[in-house]
Amino acid sequence: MNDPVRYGLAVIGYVVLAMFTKQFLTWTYGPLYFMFTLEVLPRTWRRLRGLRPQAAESR
Amino acid sequence: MSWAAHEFEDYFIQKHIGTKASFIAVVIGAFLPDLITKSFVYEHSTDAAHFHRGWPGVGFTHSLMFGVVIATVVLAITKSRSWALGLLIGEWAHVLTDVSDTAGVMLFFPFSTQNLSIQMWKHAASQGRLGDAAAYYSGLGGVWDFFWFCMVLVFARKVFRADYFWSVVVPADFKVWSWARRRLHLTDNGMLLAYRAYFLYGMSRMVAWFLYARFQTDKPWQPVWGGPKYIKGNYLMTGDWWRITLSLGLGGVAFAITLYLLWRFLIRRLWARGVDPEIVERGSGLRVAFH
Repeated sequence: MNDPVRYGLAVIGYVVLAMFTKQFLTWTYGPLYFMFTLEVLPRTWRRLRGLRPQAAESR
Repeated sequence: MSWAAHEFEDYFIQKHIGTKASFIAVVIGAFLPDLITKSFVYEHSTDAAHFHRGWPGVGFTHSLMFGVVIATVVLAITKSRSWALGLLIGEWAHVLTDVSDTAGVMLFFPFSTQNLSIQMWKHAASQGRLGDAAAYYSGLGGVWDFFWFCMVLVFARKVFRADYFWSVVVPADFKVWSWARRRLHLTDNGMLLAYRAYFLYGMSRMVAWFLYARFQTDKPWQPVWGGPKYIKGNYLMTGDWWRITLSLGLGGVAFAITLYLLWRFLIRRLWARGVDPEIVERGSGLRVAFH
């Protein structure tokens, strides 16, 4: 994982969201939350700001 | 039932199957017993545990034979050995994990409807979803999750590396990963994230439910065998010990014989005409599925 801080923040975000809303995401929405916060959101943000897409993690 | 261990176990299994089974199939196999049943369980509040794990009910989904049937059907239809093995391993891992709660599972259904349980933590489905989770994370259930979380991080952390994903996980199930990539317009990072997502989800779930049990329900933490003591659990393994032993013993023997006959007259033929991805090299015995 090349960006543990982002991953950590997403996990904290999930926990805070669950604690405040008392809505615990299920097995379908849980992984989608991580896809959204760690992939879709940053990619869209970079595109809107005219930045180059984030480099793929080395294979 | 287990709340996050099922997610962690998938990655531990991945380390041991390598390219010999599909990771996606393992994940689906591990979800299969609860996939079509869990949402109904809490609605059957009069006897949720019996509905979930007993017979009559949907308890047959938590049996070894259910995994064999599903894997055989998938092998017959798709000819994919990797998917058949993945589903079988995932389903069996789920079933064997659920032996640990007080309700247990009908391990040898349909040959025995006797539940087997080591009663390590409370199955409290009759308390509803939130009550069940609070009970789980107030006893050894949460500790079990944390144990598997540590097992993965200590012994199987290499499975999270990007190079492992691209050189082992994707080639082992290239068709499905390629299909998902095209269909969902995934980037390289998106593919990798989709693979890691269930671990992140399991970790978040474990922390969130534990905090919920501690600070929002104010339940005391009792990580003792069979705990927490203050919650009435659901027990399905009841009766004299010799009746239980006899029923499970006979069921186990009948299951073993049936499995052998199925292999001898059906599964072996299906296996022989099955196909493997190019990267797979199978050995004999356990090395068919593990490396």
